[in-house]
Amino acid sequence: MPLRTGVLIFALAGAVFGQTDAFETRIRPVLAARCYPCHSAASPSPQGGLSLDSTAGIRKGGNSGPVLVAGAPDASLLIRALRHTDSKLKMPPGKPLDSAVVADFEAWVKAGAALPADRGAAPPVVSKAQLWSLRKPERAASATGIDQFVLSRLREKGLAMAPEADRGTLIRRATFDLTGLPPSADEVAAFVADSRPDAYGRLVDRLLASPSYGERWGRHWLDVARYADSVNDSVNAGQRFPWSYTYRDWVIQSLNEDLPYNQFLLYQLAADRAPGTDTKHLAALGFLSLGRDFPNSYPETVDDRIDAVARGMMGLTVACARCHDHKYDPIPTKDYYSFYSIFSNIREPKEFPLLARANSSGATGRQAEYQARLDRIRDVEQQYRKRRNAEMIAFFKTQIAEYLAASADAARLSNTEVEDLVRDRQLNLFMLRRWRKFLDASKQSGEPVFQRWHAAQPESRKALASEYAAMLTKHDQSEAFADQTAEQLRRVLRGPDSPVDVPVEQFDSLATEGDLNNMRSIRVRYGAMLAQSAYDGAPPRAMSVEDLPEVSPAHVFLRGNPNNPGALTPARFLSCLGGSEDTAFRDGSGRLELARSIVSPENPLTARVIVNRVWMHHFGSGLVRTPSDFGFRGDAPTHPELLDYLAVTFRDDFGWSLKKLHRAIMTSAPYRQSSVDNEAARRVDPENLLLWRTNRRRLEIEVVRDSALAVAGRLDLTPGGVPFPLHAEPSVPRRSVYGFIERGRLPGFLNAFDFASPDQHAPMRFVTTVPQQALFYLNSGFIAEQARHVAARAKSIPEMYRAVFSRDPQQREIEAGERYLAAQPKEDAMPTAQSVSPWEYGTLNFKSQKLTAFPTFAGDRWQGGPVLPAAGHGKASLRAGGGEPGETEPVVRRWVSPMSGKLSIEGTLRHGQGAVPYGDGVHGRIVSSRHGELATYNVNGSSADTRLAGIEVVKGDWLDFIVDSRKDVENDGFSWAPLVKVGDKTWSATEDFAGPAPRPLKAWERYAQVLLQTNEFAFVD
Amino acid sequence: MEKPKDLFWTRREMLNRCGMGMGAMALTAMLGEAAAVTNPLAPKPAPMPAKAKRVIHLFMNGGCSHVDTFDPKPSLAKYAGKPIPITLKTERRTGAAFPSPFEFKKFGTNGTEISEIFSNIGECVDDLCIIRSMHTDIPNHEPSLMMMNCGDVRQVRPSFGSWVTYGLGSENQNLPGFIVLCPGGLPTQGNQNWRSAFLPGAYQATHIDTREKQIDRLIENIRNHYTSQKGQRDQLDLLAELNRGYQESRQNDGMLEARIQSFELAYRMQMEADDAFDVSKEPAHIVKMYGEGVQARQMLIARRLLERGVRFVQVWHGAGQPWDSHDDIKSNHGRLARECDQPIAALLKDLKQRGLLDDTLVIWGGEFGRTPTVELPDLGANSGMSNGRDHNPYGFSMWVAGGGFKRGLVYGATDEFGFAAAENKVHVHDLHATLLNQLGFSHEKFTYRYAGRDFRLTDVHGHVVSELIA
Repeated sequence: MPLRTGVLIFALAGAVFGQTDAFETRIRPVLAARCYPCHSAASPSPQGGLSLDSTAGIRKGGNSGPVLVAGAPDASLLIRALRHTDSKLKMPPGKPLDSAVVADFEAWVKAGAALPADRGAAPPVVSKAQLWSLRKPERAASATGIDQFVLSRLREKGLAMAPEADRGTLIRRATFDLTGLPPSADEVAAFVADSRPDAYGRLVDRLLASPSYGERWGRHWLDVARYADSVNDSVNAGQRFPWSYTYRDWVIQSLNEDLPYNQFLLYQLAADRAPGTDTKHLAALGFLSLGRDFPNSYPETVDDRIDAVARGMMGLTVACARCHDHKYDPIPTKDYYSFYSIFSNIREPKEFPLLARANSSGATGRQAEYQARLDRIRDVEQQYRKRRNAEMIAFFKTQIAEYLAASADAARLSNTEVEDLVRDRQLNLFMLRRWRKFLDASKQSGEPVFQRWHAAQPESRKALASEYAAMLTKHDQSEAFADQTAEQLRRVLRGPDSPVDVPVEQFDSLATEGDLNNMRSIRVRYGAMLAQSAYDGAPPRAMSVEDLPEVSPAHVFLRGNPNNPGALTPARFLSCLGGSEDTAFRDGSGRLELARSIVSPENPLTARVIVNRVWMHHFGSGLVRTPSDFGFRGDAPTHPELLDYLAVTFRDDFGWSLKKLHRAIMTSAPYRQSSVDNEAARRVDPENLLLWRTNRRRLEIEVVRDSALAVAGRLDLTPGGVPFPLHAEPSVPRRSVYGFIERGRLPGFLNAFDFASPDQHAPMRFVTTVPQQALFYLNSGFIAEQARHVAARAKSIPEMYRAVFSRDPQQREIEAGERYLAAQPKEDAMPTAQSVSPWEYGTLNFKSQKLTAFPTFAGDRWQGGPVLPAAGHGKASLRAGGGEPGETEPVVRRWVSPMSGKLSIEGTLRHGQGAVPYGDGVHGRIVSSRHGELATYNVNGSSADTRLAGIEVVKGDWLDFIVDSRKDVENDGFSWAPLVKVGDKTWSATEDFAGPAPRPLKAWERYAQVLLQTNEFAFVD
Repeated sequence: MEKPKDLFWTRREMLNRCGMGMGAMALTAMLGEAAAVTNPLAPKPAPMPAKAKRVIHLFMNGGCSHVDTFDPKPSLAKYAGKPIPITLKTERRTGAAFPSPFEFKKFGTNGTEISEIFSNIGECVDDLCIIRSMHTDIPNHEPSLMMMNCGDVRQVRPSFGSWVTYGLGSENQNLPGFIVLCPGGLPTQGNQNWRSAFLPGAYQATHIDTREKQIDRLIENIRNHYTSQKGQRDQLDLLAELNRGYQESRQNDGMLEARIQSFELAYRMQMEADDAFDVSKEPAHIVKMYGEGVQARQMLIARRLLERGVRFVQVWHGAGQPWDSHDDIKSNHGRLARECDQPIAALLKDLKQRGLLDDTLVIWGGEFGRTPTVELPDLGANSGMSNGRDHNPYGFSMWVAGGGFKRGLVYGATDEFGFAAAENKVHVHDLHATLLNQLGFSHEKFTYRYAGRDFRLTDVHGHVVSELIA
């Protein structure tokens, strides 16, 4: 393959192979890469009237006539142009193509210039009329409700619905569905006993009114919104968002308040643009701002937004039209780029808007403290830019002759050739442009200094360049000259229009790769500090977006390549939904107009997509089983009339109220059916497409976790706020929806249980069964912990059944339990003897000099609480191989000697400083309970060997490895993993590092653990 | 246009097989019996006859220099200190030709020249298929890692290992099907290197820090801390009894049955994992063959995993990007090779003597190569020295052993200086296509429907390089 470029991406798809093979593999890729930008139907206007992106276009030729003569390369204009031998016809401009490539073209023409049959220029393969989901939903006049649609389909197949589920099953199903929590035994009993005819309706209303409703359904929406609390999924760039939680809380609160769904969507796209919008709704813009960030590729960031909006809100795979028109659905590439014009013209505001004022003087004080630290980081960046900019200017002043010579040479070159020149001579392109601009201006204005230069012959310019360089350098001083000529010379390097005197604001254009790395690390530090301030209780702010002050519409990226611009695509709505250039959006980026188009009653998709999602979560699968793809490649609805009925009713009768929709679905007969098997029906409809019963469903991992906390009597229903770590030990007994979601680094148990990846929009969750899930139930600290609590709460088997399953046990279940318990030995021999760890972790109280042990183990580190900074310990934490001291509290790793003898210590205390030093490092000490301070070390971007030997130790003595932050509390992460040796025994800080020592479960607790492991606990009928 | 059929399997079957939502529920209902249908890692036959059953990918992350290892370039000595007539844009500025500080020696029946730093691997050259004409797209780590692992430089796509485990499942249900070994933390780009993207999470790799020696730090929740083995068995028996009672009125539900089975699997997995990772069970002569250090340890673990039917093992040299020798290539590459040369050679010999090499694909390489020219000192980018090499995506070397690849072959060539692949170029997509072919998949037909499109590992690129195949 002579040439491989990323731009042929879809050129090959659908091509006719065989005789046109050569064209597809050797010719078309080159045309696409080098010729399409100016010679394609999609380019702004095909140059010379020549379009090379279709067979018809190639055959037709351009304004000069046909470009190909089959079999005769020498007679073909195209070949002549490529050869660059004809001075009037050289294509592509600039450097000629590789001779091997030209030879490919010659061979192809010689062999007859075979071209594939055109696929037709008119892109959409199918018309909009053919796609069911683009037709307006209609509600049959005779429609009376959900039941009739389901029944009529069943009857067609000679089937019927299953009997209604019993009361106990119904309340369990409804409660899990709406709140994600189990009903209590009392709630079940009360409902079973409630003989009022509207008892079930009342139940549904009660559950819809529960604040837990928003937490349950908010989580469903967060899957759609690819919500996460950190930017990226790389440990190198992984960083917390400061106020992501305000978006999550807004979603939950909006659902609880039953904010109409059209408003719900509108705020998420354009709360900042919608007139009269309450400030609190700015938090909704997290939908746009909390996606993945692709640091080196803005188009990917935009693509992620386009995809989340298009699939999440309208069930359209618009992102498929990025490199080519959609292969199946009526979505041309221009539609994609008109969305691109919308979502590329937004940015993070300089300061995120406040959602509430600081509610205490303490918070205000903290805020001020952080502000000072934030300002300091900004200042560091500014100082860095200033310093480096000055250095670069000084450097460019040594290269005056080179740039003058390059300016002269560049005059005759194309843009790409100039890039080559710059690379070959190792110059800076931006600086060269400044010199060229300066010289052009000088020529225009006729200023005296460079007249000689302009008049000189090209051959003599090289010598002249050195002469000029010497002359200018001689006059490079800050004070003005009295002499006018001297002053004019001085002003070339010092004047306001000086090419070399680059203002510091433009430093990015001069920055080296090292500079970019350094500035990125400063910004990461800034972001981390901002997040810490938010986690420390800084008043909540909306992670909003704003439009760019100057909106610039995007071009089509031909074949998806940003360097290959095609037609201009102003922001507008999708063409299959009535969007056109005439109705292009005019308000800023166009987000508000987009939002209005999405929630317009004329939009056939939006209502259908959401009622289908709601249906899916109630039944286990949607009426359309591809909930984010309502195109030709998705599934058609199983009950099209029902889907339309629900969509129209939801939009017109319910006023986009989700709670009314839930009520309608949940009070329907299909929902209330039993999940009982029916062999005859199963034969006819094995997938239960027609709903001859309800589907048994496995509970999602968050529901399992929340339910375990609930039945253990520990569930803390405090809503909202900064996220907590989901794998902390002891566990934080709050609802899982408030847990910290780190993009790409989810806690293992979430991955094992098919949690929705926040990398991109998640249409639905997978349901897989893998042994890692069972391992979680068998061996995780979390399940053991809840088992202990359940066991402590319940004094008898019936009590335990009521706690865990909200029902009384059957006789045989009691017997099974009794048999099990009776057979358990008094002492359960543990698999491995649990040795007591000699290590303790905590902070040192400054006054008492006592160790206060860390209470929380957050997966890989001990710290002062689930969320840092924590009361009493600040930001202090200890990992296996290092840690971070608190702001005022030194962190201490203590080793308590299990024996007496002579002790030695090995290890290295390290503190890192990047290229931009920050903070003053840390101070380490080794203190013995017997001998006092043994050694002390200061490290700041350096390391210290912490080797000691010959220390007498008596059993029970301890050694403290203490680290404090010195004066400056920033950038205090350190590594220090000491080895302690006594005799031939060694203790290693890393190898011995562990979370809280697990305590064996007693028989009664093991029994509780089994109940938590049952299928009954994991499924809902 | 007609909906193209998945040649691999129909969409509905696919949904069922990977246990996605209703599909799985329906199929189990239809079968009306216990089935591992919801087990996404159940072994599946490849659609075409396969030469390879399992894969081990040895990743020299950071970018191993080909001109210092498998691609000798005497011209560099000739031009030493002088500019070479090729300029290609790399990440940073490079200068004159920089001859390899290492000697090349002849190995094997064909006298293939390999650097002294890989003498042990050199001894195995008759089993290797060395490709000297690899190339990729971008001279930066992140996109090149993504290309090598996921077949796309930027977009969120499943990794090669995820594709393979999705297509073939795993032979051993007591261990994860796709395991990543990396000592000391995560490589650059972290979990993205082995993500499942839009494939179900079960196909994402399990990362194991091979510096750790305790089994419960290797696999989450693998160790039971709460009761004796007998105590846990008793629990499982009670659990089975309670689940049977629950099931009596809920017949014909494969999901319920699959979950019951998963507990038994998990129970067995505890022992199996202990065994698989316990290298102390190896006889002394084997331990000696692999040598000392974490590389030896992880190669040995890798072999134990492959032997136990794990489908895909990826072994990284270390956290971050250890092979990224912008400076001091002599001491850095020398040290890195010293760490892994003997263990890798031992792995090859060990697989061979166990008869595993024939149907195991052993892949060796980095995300790209390095420049034949010296990297110039640059503020903030390197330590101000002129004795290292920059990234080079235009040409580099990889080798594959086993799995039906030709043995003792040197394929393709770079230009005179080793800057760019020149003869018989093999793009990463082509390598992927060829590897898939050996595993029994046509890279053009092995697809997954997501967001309205049928995705492939090779997107729309790649061709099988038949010259590499025996």
